[in-house]
Amino acid sequence: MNINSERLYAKISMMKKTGIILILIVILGVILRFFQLGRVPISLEWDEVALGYDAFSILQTGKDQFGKAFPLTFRSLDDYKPPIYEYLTVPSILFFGLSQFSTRFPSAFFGVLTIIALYYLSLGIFKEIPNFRSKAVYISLLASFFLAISPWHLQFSRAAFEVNVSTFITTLAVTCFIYGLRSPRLFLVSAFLFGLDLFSYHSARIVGPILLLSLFLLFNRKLPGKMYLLSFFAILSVFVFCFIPILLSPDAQIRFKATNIFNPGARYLNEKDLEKDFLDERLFDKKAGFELAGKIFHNQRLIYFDYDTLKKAFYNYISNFDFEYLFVKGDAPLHHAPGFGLLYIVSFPLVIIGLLYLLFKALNRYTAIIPIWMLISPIPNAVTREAPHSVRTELIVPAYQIFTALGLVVLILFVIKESKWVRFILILSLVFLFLINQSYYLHQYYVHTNIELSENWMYGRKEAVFFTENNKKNYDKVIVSMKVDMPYIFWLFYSKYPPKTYLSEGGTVSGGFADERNHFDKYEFKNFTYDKLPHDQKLLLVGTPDDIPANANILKTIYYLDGSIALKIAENSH
Amino acid sequence: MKIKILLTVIILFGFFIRIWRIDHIPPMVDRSIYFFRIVSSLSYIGSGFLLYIFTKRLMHFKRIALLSAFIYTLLPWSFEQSRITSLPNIALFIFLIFLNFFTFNKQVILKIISLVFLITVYFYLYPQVLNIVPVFKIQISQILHNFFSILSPEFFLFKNNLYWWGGVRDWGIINISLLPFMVIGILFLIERKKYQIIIWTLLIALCTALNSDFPETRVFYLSLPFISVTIATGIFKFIKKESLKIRIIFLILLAFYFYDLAQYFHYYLIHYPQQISGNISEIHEAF
Repeated sequence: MNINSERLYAKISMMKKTGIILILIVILGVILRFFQLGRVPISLEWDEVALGYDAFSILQTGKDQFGKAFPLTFRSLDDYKPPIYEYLTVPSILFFGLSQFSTRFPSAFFGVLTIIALYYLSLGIFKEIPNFRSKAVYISLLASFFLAISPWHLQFSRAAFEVNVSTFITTLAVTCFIYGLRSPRLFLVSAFLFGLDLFSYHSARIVGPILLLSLFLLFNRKLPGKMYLLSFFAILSVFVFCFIPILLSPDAQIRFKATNIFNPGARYLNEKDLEKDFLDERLFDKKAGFELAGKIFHNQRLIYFDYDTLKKAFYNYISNFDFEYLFVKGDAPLHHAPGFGLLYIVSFPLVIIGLLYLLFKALNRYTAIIPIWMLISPIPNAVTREAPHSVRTELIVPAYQIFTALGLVVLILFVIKESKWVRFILILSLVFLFLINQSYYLHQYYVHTNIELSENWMYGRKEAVFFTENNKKNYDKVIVSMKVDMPYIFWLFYSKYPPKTYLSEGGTVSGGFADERNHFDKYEFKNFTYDKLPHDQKLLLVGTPDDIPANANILKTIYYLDGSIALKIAENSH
Repeated sequence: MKIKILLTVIILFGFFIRIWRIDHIPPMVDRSIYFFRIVSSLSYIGSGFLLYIFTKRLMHFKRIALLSAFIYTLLPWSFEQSRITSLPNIALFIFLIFLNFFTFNKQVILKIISLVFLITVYFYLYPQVLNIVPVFKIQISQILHNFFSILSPEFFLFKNNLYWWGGVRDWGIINISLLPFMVIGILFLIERKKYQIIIWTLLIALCTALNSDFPETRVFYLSLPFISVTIATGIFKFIKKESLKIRIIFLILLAFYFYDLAQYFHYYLIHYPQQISGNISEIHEAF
């Protein structure tokens, strides 16, 4: 054989091996995402059931629960969700029926696809570094492996979180952009994906455009020809034109108004009232004889740009890089396994090594994407409450996996020069620590999540629905207390109430927390006082322990998995 | 010569703003405290000059040394501690004496002598710094929690809560506007292999994390010189660039820094005395 044939043979052999390893990683990702999908976490929480039922309604009637035909924004629980996840759930429900599994399926499916997308993204980036060309495949395989087992990514792949689909779209969009610099057709695909991203999740509406702008700035000299550029913007503008009405609509702005840091909402009673604080501080300055200083430093006209708000925005932003948040305890209980962070603690030194190595030794226009991506992703959380927030910043996850992979490769390259025994001990220690960390995570997730967090995951509603469905024929009405938290949507979902019938009865009146106007069939969703219920009707009642006293005619008690009482079902005295 | 004059001006300016109305802000419970506050402010003078010498010998750039002294003068925590009876402030002066001996003496015996000197002086002057809990007596999770809360952006930029009743706890130890310079400074120090600065900072953070009085311990105050050097290095890197874009960015950051300083001084001079007057009864030491 001549040299060229040998090289070709070696290349094909390498590609085969890479392909096999990638397939194995994807299979691992599939197992971790689909094993007991729909059962761990044990139940759907209100956003998930809302997504599921809206998709079910679209499938059967072409309208959402409010009767709006093929909306570009789903009013849902009055939080105006972007539409992509709902529409992706439609085929899932078509094949699997309306269930916990089918509602979570798109998230798991696109979570698996993200693993593949990340492989190609890393490959596209690291092939452009001369010193790392031969190692690009290893880094890419490692990055996709780390994503496959990432606690952060698994948490949101195994529940119906729109941001997980958004992560896939964003990753694929950037991948297509990079490959599109050489293959212009992919450049146009990237335009489509960036446009689609505007409809995937709220955070992507900020991260996507800034990331796209960064890519244009980084690669301004490598962009395809004018025709392709024009086509790119033409495709993107179609999505932007569809998006503008959403942006300007008062309804769609409700989500931002409810969550931004500039307006203290009624739910967050411990938040600073900026206007009041300004006034108090100015009055104090005036009393102390510093009226002019008060006008300068506590100017209400600058309330949105005042120092305190800027500090808060910056604090919100930077808190997303907090060590304890990332590696030890995470944020809200729904967003991570109990007693575990978002990333493996073993990966901390690898992330640091990867970051420093990239900045000092491997920084070029391609690799610069990764730190830029990392810095852009928390921006949406800077101006919203509840920071740090792992859902709103999930778009950062691919960047962390790439840094981890790079860090590991750099460490191995360093260790390889040492003696056999040093190599052996170091690698063995790393593998050992990693296995312990991973085992602990799997234990915490599969064993403790359901037991410790069944209340957070709104367990008990399904069981309550089954009971009321089986017994409602014996009653005039079924009243479900509002303390059950958005009860109407749980009852719609688990009873699989036909959307056509529901819409003919008026559909959802409001997705608000306290709204008592929603009803269907025999069900009414409103607060009640047990002792003041009428006696002339046979009523089946569902409520929390606060709603139903101990001396009531209790028919069933539903318990959380930790043994505490979730719901009680009773009947009135008649 | 010019550098020395500038240095003297900076130090004198720093001393002046520290002693201005030192008997009123923050409020004094007893007139006898006045003397100790003056001592604290005077120790700042020594610290400023020693920091300059240390930085000049380490970085071999007089400008970085001068900038370090300047940054140290205006750091919120440095300013605040120099205006009260502060053992950490005086301890920092001793620490800088030790640091100059320890870092630049090649003879091991002299290094050991300087270390013994430091420990002995601290034993009598500032024993709190030696209250280290043995590692085996504290959970690793607690150590990590303490350590990373010291190194957190919250502590550095927003809430210095290590001196709860007497400190300016609604402000971090550095101004937000200095953060970009600090990040650049860290990267530059790593690039130039000046690891001592980072290692000392981490070591002091670890000692703080292991201190039995945590979080009510100001041991981390000893890292201010290193933080000042890091920020100064970042600023120096910036102003060395001749690019117009970089210079514009620098000017914007500088303007923000002055705005930041103005906010801090307004808060310190007007609102802090009012807040602290309600806490005086909780402070059981000379303040």
